[in-house]
Amino acid sequence: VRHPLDFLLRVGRMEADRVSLLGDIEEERRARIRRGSGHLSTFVWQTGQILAACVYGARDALRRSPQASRDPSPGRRAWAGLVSWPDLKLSLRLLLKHPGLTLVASVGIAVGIAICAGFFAFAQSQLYPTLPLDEGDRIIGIENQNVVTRHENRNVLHDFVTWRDQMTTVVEIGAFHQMDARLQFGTRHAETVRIAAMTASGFTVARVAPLMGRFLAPDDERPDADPVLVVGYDAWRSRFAQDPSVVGQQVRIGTTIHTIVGVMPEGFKFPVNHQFWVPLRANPLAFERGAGPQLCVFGRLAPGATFASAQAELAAIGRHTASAFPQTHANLKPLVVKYTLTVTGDAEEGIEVAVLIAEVLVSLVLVVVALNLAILVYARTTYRHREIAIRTALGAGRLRIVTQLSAEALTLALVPAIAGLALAQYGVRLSLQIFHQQPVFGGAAPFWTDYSLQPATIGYVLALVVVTVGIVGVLPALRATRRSVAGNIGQLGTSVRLGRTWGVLIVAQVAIAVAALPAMVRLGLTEIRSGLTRPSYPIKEFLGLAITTEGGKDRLGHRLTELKRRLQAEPDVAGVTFAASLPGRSIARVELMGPAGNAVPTDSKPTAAGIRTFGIDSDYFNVYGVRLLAGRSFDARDSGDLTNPVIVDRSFVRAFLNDGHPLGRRFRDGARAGSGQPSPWYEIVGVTENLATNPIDHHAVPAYVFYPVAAEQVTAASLRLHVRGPAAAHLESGLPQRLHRLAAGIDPALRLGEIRPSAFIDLSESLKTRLIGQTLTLVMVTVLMLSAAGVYALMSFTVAQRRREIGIRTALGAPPYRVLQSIFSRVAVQVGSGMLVGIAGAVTLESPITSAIGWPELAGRRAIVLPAIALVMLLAGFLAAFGPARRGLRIQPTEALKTE
Amino acid sequence: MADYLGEFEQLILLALARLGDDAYGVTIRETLVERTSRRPSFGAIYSTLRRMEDKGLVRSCLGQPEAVRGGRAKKHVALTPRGRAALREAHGAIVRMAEGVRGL
Repeated sequence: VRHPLDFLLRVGRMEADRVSLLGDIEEERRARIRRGSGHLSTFVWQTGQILAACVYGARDALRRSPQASRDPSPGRRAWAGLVSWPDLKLSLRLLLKHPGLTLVASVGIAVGIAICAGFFAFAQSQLYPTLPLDEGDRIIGIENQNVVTRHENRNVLHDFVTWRDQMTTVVEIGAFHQMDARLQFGTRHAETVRIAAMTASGFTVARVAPLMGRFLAPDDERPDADPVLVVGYDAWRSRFAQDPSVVGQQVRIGTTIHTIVGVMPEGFKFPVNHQFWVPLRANPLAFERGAGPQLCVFGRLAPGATFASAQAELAAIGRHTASAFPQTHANLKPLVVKYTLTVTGDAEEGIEVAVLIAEVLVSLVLVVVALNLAILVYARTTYRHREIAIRTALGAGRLRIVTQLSAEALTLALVPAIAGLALAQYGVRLSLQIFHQQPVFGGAAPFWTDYSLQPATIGYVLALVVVTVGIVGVLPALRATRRSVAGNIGQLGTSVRLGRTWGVLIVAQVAIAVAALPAMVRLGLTEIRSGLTRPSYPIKEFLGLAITTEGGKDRLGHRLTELKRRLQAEPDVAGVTFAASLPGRSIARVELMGPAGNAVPTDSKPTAAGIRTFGIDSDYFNVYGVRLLAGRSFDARDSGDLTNPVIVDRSFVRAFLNDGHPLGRRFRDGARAGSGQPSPWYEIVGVTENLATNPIDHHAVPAYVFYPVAAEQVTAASLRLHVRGPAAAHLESGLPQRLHRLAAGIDPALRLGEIRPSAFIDLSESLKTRLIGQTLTLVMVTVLMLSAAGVYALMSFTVAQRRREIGIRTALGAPPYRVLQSIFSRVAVQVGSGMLVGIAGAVTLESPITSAIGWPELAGRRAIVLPAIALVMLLAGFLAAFGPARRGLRIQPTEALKTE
Repeated sequence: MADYLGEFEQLILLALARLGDDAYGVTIRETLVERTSRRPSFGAIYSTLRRMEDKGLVRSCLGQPEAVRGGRAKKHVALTPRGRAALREAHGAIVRMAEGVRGL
């Protein structure tokens, strides 16, 4: 049970004893509840214990450097003397005195910090999660990455054995794959559970002892060993009623009886969020290289080894493998990656740099906000020149006044920062919940998920507050206190001039807004566009499940055909088909065959959504109701055809054949052109309607290539059922049970995965798109609002400053347009300069951003975004200037002269 | 020179001597609660143990994770010979000081 303040013990000297200390507190907490204490009073006691430990830890850390506390440095003395309680009280009063400014500033800072901190916290949770295991930071993942497609390749059974046997910098190398299977215990109804088929080293690498019995042993992985099962604490409690004699009892998984050999302690869910573990029995001899189960490989860095040394050793092994097996490994590069990234499939070379760039860009949001606020604060500070002059005359040094004004900025920023942090935490929690809808997690949080506020996030927000105070407080304060005492006294009662700082601030904020907003707009539009991509078939009537055989090495053959036939006879099933992948059939880059049989490369990135390639059953299009536009469909003979017939969709024809005549055209995967075994040539025999449509952008629709596959060719397939009516309703109506019975009737060795509606994934995708879209909209509106507020402040000040001049000019008969022209000219010059600098910045940043993050280029129709943003900024500036300008025209000459 | 022990340090060392192999945060605290009527926080106990470990008076090792502790391991603590000597010395000093004093 985690306490929300657990993280406090990560600082100070209590860090080293954190785990055992929290264990003691937990043990005592449970004992208290057993003795009859209320949950609330126990929680209060627990909180007190954690806070006390935190205080002791901080005290001990300070005592380690007693010199520091007894003899404060000059800087520390200075701060102690400068920032005083009266300063803070005065700041608070001034904030209340200007509620408009305080409100705009608070909202701006809160939104800015929420966005920055939210992005930071989410990125940290993905890139640098703390594995709550002993020396969890030394547990790593190993995977093969395809250097062309930049996707991980999980058919690594042979490589796993090589890595395990040869690597010395990584020890306890293990692997797992997860599957959904029917589990039946005693007379209870069978239920579908998620099971990890894992090597025994998974338990030793986690260094967690079993609660009862034993965990898996290497001998359990032998094919002739008795099937065994290890159960997690939660499953033991919920499904076995905490039966103390559960070890030794038997359960049925699929068709096989397994003996429970152990129960793992509470909280143990390695490798992801599992509660059931069976031994991984994958014999490399039974599979060709590049085939077999999809594995995640993990291990622990050996004592003294580092990420870099492990990567160097792995790269050497990878080069050797690539030269020995060029046909399967020419494009594969083995990488040592963070464990969590290999599970989510997000590991990628350079991802940390890309995220860092993104974090810097996102942080610019707050800089824009702060610059705008600086303008507003500066305007107010210059109105306070009289107060500053008097304080200076009474002996206050420049540092003293700057400190006072900085304290005001700090007071202004602190509460919004806390609010922003809370908003960010809320957003991160939502984002993680959406993120956990991925199939790999199955909707449940992985064991390393930590929703608590991380010290790194607090540190980042504190740094943001310092930057904000620097921009909002120190910058205007330095500017306002630059004049000498005599100058200040002399200016009592006269107007103040705004110098270059003001102009530079305006130019800078417009420039940053123009430079940063197009990237956000483009990202937002991309997300919204892809969110609009919808399947052209009735996705809500489709169910999907994985099918394979026990052991995963036998071809499905007639068993799959027979299952299809029997399912077809079910009254609520409208159609059944399957899809499967064959090794070496993926297409990353299209090369067309020229007239002379030569290869003609095409644009490597024709659609934003990429190319999807998979093998299909001969009646796939009938079941999906997808119309054939030209040519023919597959038939039974095609799967063995040496001409490699394929069917492509309309997107493919549009992207690669310029809508030309597709039938009979041949192409291959250009990405493998230089490898030992180039891709075969494929011949287009048919064209279908697209499987997905997008009402506004066809680039957001992937291009599909289908090749024929027969049940005799595959060991695993994805079964697709078109049911009558909503698919979700059939899950409750007993269809899954009938499906399992049918499969068991054909061959008890058939293993079925969990049945899910095809719309399941679709939902989490649209949620994600909505979250990103809403966040970006919030950012854009905030930035535009603050930019407009900044320009408004500039105009107001300009008008106020020139009242006398405007009055005289009006009295002398100057036409209104001349007066307006003189008022607007300064705004136009400054906003225009900012736009030019911003456009230059956006163009300069385009190349690194595109290569690092893969965002769309400033080319084609997308080039409109930048000038459009600039135009919006200009319009916002002039709209903001409209009110003050109108006031300027209404100034009566006599009043204007009187004010001076 | 013998190690100087504060009162709380003495109490914890005595608890360790009494508990033997079963000494860890919870049992140490229970012993102190039962025999001294004090209710020290775990933070105070761990802070004192760490200080005494730095001085070489006690040694510690991590045990196995247990479900009742939320899957967390115990930190077992034991007296070192130096700690035992320091305790003996401190206790002797108290006994010597108390000798002949009436009305205690």
